[in-house]
Amino acid sequence: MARGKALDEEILTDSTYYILLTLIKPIHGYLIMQRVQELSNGDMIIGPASLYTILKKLQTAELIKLLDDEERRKTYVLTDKGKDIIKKDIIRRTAMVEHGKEALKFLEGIDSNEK
Amino acid sequence: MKNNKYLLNMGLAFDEDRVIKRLNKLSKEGWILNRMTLFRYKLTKAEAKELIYAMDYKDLKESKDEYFQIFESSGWKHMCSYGPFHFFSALPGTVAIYTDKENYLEKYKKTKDLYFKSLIISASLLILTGLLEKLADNTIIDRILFCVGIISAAIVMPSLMVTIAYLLRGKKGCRENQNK
Repeated sequence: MARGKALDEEILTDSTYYILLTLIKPIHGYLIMQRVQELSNGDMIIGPASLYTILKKLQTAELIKLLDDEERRKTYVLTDKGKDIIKKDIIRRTAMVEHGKEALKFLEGIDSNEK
Repeated sequence: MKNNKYLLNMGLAFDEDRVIKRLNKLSKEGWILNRMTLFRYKLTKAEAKELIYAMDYKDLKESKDEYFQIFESSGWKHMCSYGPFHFFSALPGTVAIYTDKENYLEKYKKTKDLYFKSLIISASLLILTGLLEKLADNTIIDRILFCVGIISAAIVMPSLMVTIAYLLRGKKGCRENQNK
């Protein structure tokens, strides 16, 4: 099934990655969008239809869970499985950035030699 | 002076983009969306101001309030719903309701699947009644089969058209994404 495809492979999309980052502490669903924007200094913006769909997928995949179920103010937090997956993904992304840094240094070196 | 205005509902599969554009334009003329039915959209007189509209397709069960609250908190006001179709409006410049490609495309995939299912069911019924009719010599059974056949035929055509409309839209969507 297409549902949660990206989650099964344990490679998170950028939107899902940022949403999970906001969920390390309990948070109301509707506050996540604002929190993501603050966290990323406005680089990552998530629309409401995307957020709602991703939240439902994360819940089905048991990466997040509902804390208290007052209908209008649902609060979510990471499950142990969710914590595991976000930790792995942070490490994976950090490694990718490190690899990129070496390449960047090299490319900038070429640039300054040419000038 | 008339206080209501109506737009024909030609099926969101065919003219979602057209309806959205019309609604955006009409907001500047002081008409806002009030209700959607199977046949038409009802607009009522309001203060003239520029709005942008968006439609989402979502089967909501128990988390209705949460869904609308998430939209509300990002600036999208719920205008009306018809079954799984939900209309929202916002001020120009508001963040799009879908910001990722995967879930945006899924919106159309879900609706396409729904119509595809009804196409398969009605088409198989139609073929089945056609075959059975050849065998039936009893007039009552024959009549019943005829009725089932007519109903199936009535469902096959729109289902087929809607499915094709979504397939074409999917192709268009893919091309648009490649161009980005």
